[in-house]
Amino acid sequence: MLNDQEIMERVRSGQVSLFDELVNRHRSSMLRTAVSKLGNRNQAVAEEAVQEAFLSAFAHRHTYRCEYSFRGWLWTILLNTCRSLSQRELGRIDRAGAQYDFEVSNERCSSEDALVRLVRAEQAALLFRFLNALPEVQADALRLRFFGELKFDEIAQAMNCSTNGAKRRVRSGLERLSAALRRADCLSIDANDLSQSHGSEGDFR
Amino acid sequence: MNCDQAFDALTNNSLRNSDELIQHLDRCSRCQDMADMLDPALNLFDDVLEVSGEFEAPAPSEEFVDEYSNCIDQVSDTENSSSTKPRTASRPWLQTSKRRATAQRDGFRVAAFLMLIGVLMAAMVNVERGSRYDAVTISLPADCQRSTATDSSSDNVVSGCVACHLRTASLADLEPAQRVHARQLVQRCVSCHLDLTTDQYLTDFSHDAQIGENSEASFQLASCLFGRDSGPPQL
Repeated sequence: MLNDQEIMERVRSGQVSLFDELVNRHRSSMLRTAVSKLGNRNQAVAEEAVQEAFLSAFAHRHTYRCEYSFRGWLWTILLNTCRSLSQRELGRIDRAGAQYDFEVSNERCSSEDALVRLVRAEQAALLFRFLNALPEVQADALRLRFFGELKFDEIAQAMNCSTNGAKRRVRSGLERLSAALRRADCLSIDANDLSQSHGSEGDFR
Repeated sequence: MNCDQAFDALTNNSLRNSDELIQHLDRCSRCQDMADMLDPALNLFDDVLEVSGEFEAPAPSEEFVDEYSNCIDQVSDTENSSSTKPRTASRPWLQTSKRRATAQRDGFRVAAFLMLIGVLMAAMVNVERGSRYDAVTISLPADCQRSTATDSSSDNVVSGCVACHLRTASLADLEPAQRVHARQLVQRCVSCHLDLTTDQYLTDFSHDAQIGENSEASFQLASCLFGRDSGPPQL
C-alpha cells in the first residue's frame, strides 16, 4: 500500500484521482480535530473546515514537498482553515457559553447503555471545554497529538516549532488539564479554572 | 526505552499500556512521577478517544463532492489539453504587447538576480550553521538529568550536560582539543534541550549571573560559545 507521501507524489505528477485515498484516510481524524476546535454544536462548520482544508490542499498540491510529512502539511492547512473559518463565520458559530454542550443520540437503547453514552458525551464536552480554555498553542498541540494521532515531529511541522517545542506544548497542556481536573470534582469544574491558572508554555522550562 | 520515548508512549493511546512503558516506569521514578501527574488528563483523553474510535465521519456533503469532482475534472482537462493545444490559446493574458513583454522580461531578470543573491546568502548561512552545529552527534543517556526537571535553570542544565558528558567538574581542566569538543557539545545541548535562540540564552545567563556567583563563569561560557564577547575565547 502506498504511503501518503508516495500518493502525493503521484497526485502531483498527474494521477489526481489518487487524492481520494488521502481524503478517505484522514477525513475522520481531521473532523474530530476540527470538532474539538470549533465545538460539537458547530459540527457543520467543522465539516466545512475539513472540506475546505482538503480542497485547499488539492489546489496547492504543487507546493507540498515530499521530504516532509504529508500529515504535518495537511494539519497545518486544517488549523489555518479552522482559524479563518471561526473568524469569518463568527455569527454562525455558537459562542453562547454552551459551545461544548454534550449531545446524546436519540436512538433507542437500554438504560445502562444510555447512561454510559451520557457519561461519555459529558466527558467529551468537558474535554472540549477545557481544551478551549487552554492557550491555543497548547490546545492545538494536544488536539494534533490525541485526535490527529500525529507524531511530535509532525506536530512541530504543523505548528512551525521545534520537536522539543511540540513536546513541551503537549506536556504543558496535559499538566494544566490534570491540575484543573484535580482541583475540582470532575463535573462541577469550571473551565475558567484553566485560563486563570498561572504559568504558560514559556514557564515550562 | 529512554525517558523521551517514555513520554512518546505515554501520550500515544495505543502504547500507553505497553509492557515496555510499564517496565520503564517501574525503574524510572521521574517518569513515574510525571505519569502520575498527567494521569487525570490522559485518562480523560482515553475515555473520549474510546468514544471517538466508534465515531464515523458522516458522508461528505453534496456541495463538497461536486466542488471536489469539479477540481479533479478541471485538472484532468487542463492536463489533457495542454499536451495538444498551444498554451496561449487558453490564456489570452499571455498575448501582451511587445513593450509589456520587454518590461516583463526585465522584471524577470531583476527577480532572478535577487533570487540568486538570496540563494547565495542562504548557502553562506547554512555553511556557517553546519560548521557550528553538525560536528557532534550526541545520544542522550537514559538518566539524563534534564528530562523532567521543570525547575532547572538553564545554568543547571548546561552544567549537568558538561559534567555528565565530559566527566569533569571544571571546564578549565580540559585539554585544548576537548575544549573545542565541549564548545560544540554545549551548543548542541543549549540549542536542542533548551530550544533557545542565542539572544534568549544570553539573557537567561545574564539574569542568572546576577543571582549566583558561579553563574558568572557560565555567562562567560555562553558569551564565548556564541562569539558575543570582545576578548579571546576562554574555552
